[in-house]
This record gives sequence, structure tokens and C-alpha cells, in this order.
Amino acid sequence: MQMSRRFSFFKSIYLVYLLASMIFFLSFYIYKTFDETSEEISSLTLRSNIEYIDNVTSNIAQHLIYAANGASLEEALAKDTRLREHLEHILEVLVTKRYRYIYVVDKDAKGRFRLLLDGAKVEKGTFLEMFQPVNAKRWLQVYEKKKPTFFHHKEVKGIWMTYLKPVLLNGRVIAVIAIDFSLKEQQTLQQILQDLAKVLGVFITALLFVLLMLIVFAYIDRKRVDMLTRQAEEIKNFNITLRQKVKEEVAKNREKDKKILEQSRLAQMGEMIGMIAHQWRQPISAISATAITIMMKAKMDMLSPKEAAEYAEKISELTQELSKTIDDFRDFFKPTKERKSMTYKSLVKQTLNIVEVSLHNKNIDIIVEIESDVEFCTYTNELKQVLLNLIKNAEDILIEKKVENPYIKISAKGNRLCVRDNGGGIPKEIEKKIFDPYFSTKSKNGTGLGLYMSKIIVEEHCGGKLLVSNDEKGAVFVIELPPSECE
Amino acid sequence: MRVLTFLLLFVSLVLHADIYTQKLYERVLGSIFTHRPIVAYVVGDARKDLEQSHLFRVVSACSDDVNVVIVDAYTSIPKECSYKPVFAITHKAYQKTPQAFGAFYWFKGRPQLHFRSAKMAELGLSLSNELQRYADE
Repeated sequence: MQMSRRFSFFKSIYLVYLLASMIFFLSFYIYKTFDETSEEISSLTLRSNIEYIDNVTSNIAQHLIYAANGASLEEALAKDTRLREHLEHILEVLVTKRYRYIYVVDKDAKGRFRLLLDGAKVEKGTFLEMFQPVNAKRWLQVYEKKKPTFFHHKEVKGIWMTYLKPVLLNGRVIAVIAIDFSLKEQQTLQQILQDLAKVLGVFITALLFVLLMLIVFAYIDRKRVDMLTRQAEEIKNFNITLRQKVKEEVAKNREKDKKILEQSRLAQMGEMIGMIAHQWRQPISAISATAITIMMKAKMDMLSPKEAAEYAEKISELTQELSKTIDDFRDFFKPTKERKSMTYKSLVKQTLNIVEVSLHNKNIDIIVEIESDVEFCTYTNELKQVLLNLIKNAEDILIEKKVENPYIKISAKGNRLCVRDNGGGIPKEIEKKIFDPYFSTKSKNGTGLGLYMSKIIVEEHCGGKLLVSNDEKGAVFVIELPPSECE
Repeated sequence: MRVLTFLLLFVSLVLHADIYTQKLYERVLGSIFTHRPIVAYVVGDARKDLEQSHLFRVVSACSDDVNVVIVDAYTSIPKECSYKPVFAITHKAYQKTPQAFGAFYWFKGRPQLHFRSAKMAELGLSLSNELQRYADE
């Protein structure tokens, strides 16, 4: 798990770096390609322009060579005005907005340039008019090198270029054809390319920014994942420790529970012995008194056989009563394996058989008001233990608080059985805790398991409810059982 | 050196035509005419360029005082100035005015400075060394 998480983390990091590298190289490639393409477009436009002009001027040169007829062009044109007009008409036809000035010049004996032919429609130069070109050096180079050339007129806002084509006859330059052409279209194209370059620049900048952000985020994410991995590791270690501690604590608690249960059992046994003792005290006293009477009468020879039989009968009855008490207690604490039919009346009667004497001895009044004949099919002995627990709790509090005229009132109506006392009730702050295990308010002999076990018996075993509240005198415990009949 | 300065001015003229046209007039006509200020009668629109110069005094009517007549279009020159030296400032005016001894104009996007040597000799005018190269004949 750890390995696969680590592996996926490394995978994502490498992916980010791969992506970042791709963006970087893509940006570089786009920039380089665009730069080269834009230069190519720019130079291609100029080249195609020059190529066109070269073709045009070559055609014009053919006409001029033909017109010169093997001699001087200037002389031929001077002689034949119509030829001049015809050739100027050819130049005129070629003049457009882009190819603005098309004219032919030559050099006189003094090396000055003169106009031979002018393709202009307005401001037309005259034949042999002196012409002073700007950048005359380039014009002279055409004569020297006998090769075409073109150059920029940077001084006229850089829009215009001049193309110069030498007209060669027998290896001699007889004239130069000049074309002033506009670069406006090329400039517009360059402007568009520049605008595109700006957009591309912004795009690439944005891409590089994304790249930077990606690297930063990858770095931050890596730190975050590192931290999370560390925390997960810590939590895992903590969980292992916690599990061990819980295990240890549970074992300790089990041990404690075991001890408490043993204590509870001993306490119950003690209580039972106490109750048996109470039950036995009166018959044992009666047996003792009968035995003394028999002994006295026998010493004084006053014991007749009839009387002896009557006393023996009485002792026998009393011992049977003692035996019954033992049976009652044994039945009471023996868990019921099967549900049995019972009413609240029988439940209360059987329970009071056990504790009534004890309560009577402690001057606690028992008030019983049973107005219910509802039959319940339930675990009777367990319910008796619950009722006994509620009565004993009431007894304990009445004794502990030394309540005047103490009483325990057991009433039943329908499926509700109430046990109330005048012990002052349960304080509000502990009302919700009294059914919790190990919760006890008793100063001694309180296991904290009685009410907890009672609630489990009533609600989980018998399917009823065990509720608690206070009235003006004391606590009120209510047992609600669902009415049912055994088959 | 002076030739070089003049050439520089001529090239600058190409770069900043409006500013340097006036300076060129001063330089060219200043070297031809010794009289100061040069009294000029202008036929056409060049009046403004010359009026801003301290070297020229532009007059509105032809008189004996006039040293040079400057024309920028082919229009008839008043009789009173018909014998005065004429300097053309357009290509057309130079072509159509044979009595013009020189001209400065723009032709095919290029500044042109021309002088007719014969006419200048007739008028008793001479060119400085730096301007000799612009003489036509």
C-alpha cells in the first residue's frame, strides 16, 4: 500500500516534470518555427517582387536593345520621337500604385545621369533631362558591375525600394532601367507578422508562466504529499500503539469486571443469607420455645403423650416452614430457562415473601396496590430479581437517609408496575447515569451493577421498558412489559 | 569640405524636406547673389519658405530692387521682372521657363538641383565650386 502510494506519487511528479519539459520545448519550437517562417514569408514576398520586376525589366531591356539597333540608344531615341513615345507607352502601361516610377536613364560623357524614357503620366521628365539620383553610388555600381541591384530608400519612411537593371549591349551598359516600387504590402505583411509575434509572445509567456506555476505547484504538492505520508506513518504507528493499549485496557477491565462480579455474587449471597436468617429467626425461636416447653414438662412429668405428639407436630410444621424458605430462596435465584406465565400480583407476592420480613424488621412500610390482571409470558425469576433489586435499592436509601415513616409503595395498573419510595428521589445530575454499569451512589456494598442488570433483563430479555423518574416524595421506577400469553 | 557640407545638406533635405528647403534656398541663392538681403519676388506658394528666412526680403510687386524672381508654376512673369534672374522651384516651371537660370524641385521622390550654365553666364551669375556639379551644360 505504502509502496504503491509512493510509486503513484513519483509517477505524478514525473508526469508534471514531463509536462513542464513538453511545454518548454513546445514553446521553444513554436517560437523558432514562427521566427523562421515569418522571415521566410518576408523574404519570399520580397524575392517574388524582385523576381517579377526582374522579368519585367528584362522584357523592357529587350525592347531597348532592339530600339538601339546595335548603336547608341540615346541617338536612336533622339532620332525617332515615335519610337520614344512607343517605348514610354510600354513603361506607362506597367506603372501601377506599387510600381510607381519606371524610367530609363543613361550616363553622359561627364558621367551625369540623364533621363531617356519616363513612364510617368504626370510630371513627366523630358528626354535627356538631367537626373540626380539619391544614393548615386549604387547607380554607378550598376555600370561597373553590370548587374542588377536593388536598395532601400530608408530616408522615405522605408516604404520605397529602387530596382536598377543594366541594359547590356555588346557587354556595354547602354542604359539603366529604374523601377521605384512600394514595399507597403510587404510592410503590412510584416506588421501582421509582428502582431502575430506579439500574440505568440504573450501566448508563450503565458505558457512559460503556466510552466513555472506547474513547477511551483509540483514542488508544493511534493512537500504536501511528504507531510501527508509522514502524518499517515505517525497515525499508523499511533494506531498500533493505541490498539495495544486498548487491548491491555480491555484485559484489565475484564479482570476488574470479573472481580466485581465475584464481589457482587458474594454481596448477593450475603444478602440472601441475611434474608434467610430473618425468615428463619421466628420459626427457630418457636422451635426453641417448643423444645424448652417439652423439656420443662418432661422434667416435671407433666408431658402427656398427646401433648408430646402435638409439640412434635408443631416442630415438624416449623421445620417444614424452614425448608420451604430454603426452597423459596433457591427457586428465586435459579435462572428461568423458559418463559412462564405470570401476573404482576404473583410477581409482587413471591418477591415480598423474600424481603417482607426484612423490611418489616427495619420498620419500612410496604404498601401494595395491584389493579392488574394482565398476564405476561416472561422469565419470571429474572423479573423477581429486578423487582427485588428495586425494593432493596429503595430500602437502602430509606435506611441511609434515615427517612421518617419510610415506605415502599408497589402499585400495578395495566402493564405498568411502579415501585416508589419516599427517599427524596434521584438527583437530576445523575438521573441519566444510574443505568450505567459500575455507577453507584451507595457509600458501601454498591457494585453499580444492579440497575444496569435490571435494565438489560427488562428491555433485552423480556422486551419491556424500565424507566425512572421522581415524584414529590422520592424515586419512581416503572416496569412496562408487553402483555403476552404462553402457548 | 564645403562640397561635403553641401552634400550633407542635400541629403538631409531628403530626410527632412520641410525644414531644409528654406536652408537650401539660403545656401544656393546666398552663394549666387551677393546682395543682402536678397530681394525676391515670388510667383506662387514658395513665399512662406522665403519669408521665414532672414536672408530674403520678399516683395509683393516687381520693381528694380528685385534680385531674383522665384516661380513655382508656369505662369507669365510680370514685364517689370522679365529681365530679372528666374529660379524655378517645380519641375514643370523649370521645363516651361527657359529664362530660368536654375531650379530646385522634387522629381520622382528625389531632390533635383539644376543650373543652366549658359543662362547664368548671360545674367552675369556664377556658381560656387560646390554647385558646379549641378550645372547642366
